[in-house]
Amino acid sequence: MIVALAVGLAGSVGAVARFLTDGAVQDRSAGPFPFGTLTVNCTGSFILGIVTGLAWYHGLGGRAHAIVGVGFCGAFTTWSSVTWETVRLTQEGLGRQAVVNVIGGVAASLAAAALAIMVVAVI
Amino acid sequence: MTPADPPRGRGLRRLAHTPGADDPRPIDPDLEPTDPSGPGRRHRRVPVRIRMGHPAVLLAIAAGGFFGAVARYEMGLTWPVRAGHFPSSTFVVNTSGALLLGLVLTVSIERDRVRARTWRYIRLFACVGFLGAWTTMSTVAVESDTLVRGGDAGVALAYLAATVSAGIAAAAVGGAAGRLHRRMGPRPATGGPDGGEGVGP
Repeated sequence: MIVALAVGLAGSVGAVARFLTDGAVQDRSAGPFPFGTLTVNCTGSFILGIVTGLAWYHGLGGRAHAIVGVGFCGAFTTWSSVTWETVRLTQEGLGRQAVVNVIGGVAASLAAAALAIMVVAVI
Repeated sequence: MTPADPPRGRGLRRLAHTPGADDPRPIDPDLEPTDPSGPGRRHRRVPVRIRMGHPAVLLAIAAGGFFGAVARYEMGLTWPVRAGHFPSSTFVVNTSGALLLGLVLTVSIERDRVRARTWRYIRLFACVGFLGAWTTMSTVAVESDTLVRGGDAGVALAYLAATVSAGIAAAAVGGAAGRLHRRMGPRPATGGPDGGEGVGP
């Protein structure tokens, strides 16, 4: 119960952080490509990789993992935005950007998570 | 409308040559349709302080994020996935979130001629807050990594392919369903619906 509440609060922080980070990144690019979503997804996946690595190799507790990993990282990163952006880019006739957005976004997030886990394993 | 046509109507929504000129629905759901940081010729930077605007904006997102994260956490507890198996609970979470985002975003933007502020807060709560937090990319990344480490690269590949294809299809269906709602529902009193067909008066 307490853990669920903490997960929820971490989710609030994650969602607000995504909104502000996404906006700040999109501020710096005039084009339609959603760099903001890409940024939050890569960053969040890297953080979840670190948290997961800490849980695997350094005995991080289940509660901390739930709050930071499930709560914050889960809310900070988003999948619904990626799919919507892909659909909208396609509708706007920007098919290549749509493909780069979804494939590149997934690949970059995977790479970020894998890198983070490897880094934590070495430490 | 061909790209050579001059802009019709007024405001950001009718800019020709720019993405979003014929469709008011944003590409990035975390940006409001009228956000000057969005794509377009009139792109300009918005200080963070101004984007945050009224405290209620962040409060609506935080409230949505709270329920989205709790719901996904409870989903993971009630629907655990064994190691080496297809992460079906995250798949269901992400695909349902993509469908709902397409639907709610479309309805909220195409209806916002009337009660624009209410629709905006519904969007901030449901789309940016709840659905943004309900769906997750980081979990997909770590689950795939874990599957590959466990020697189940095939499952990981199937998981990624299913997540991508079902997610895109769900978002497209959600968006189309939102427009169906526009056609069937009563028309707002102040002028016809915008976007979509891109036909000027």
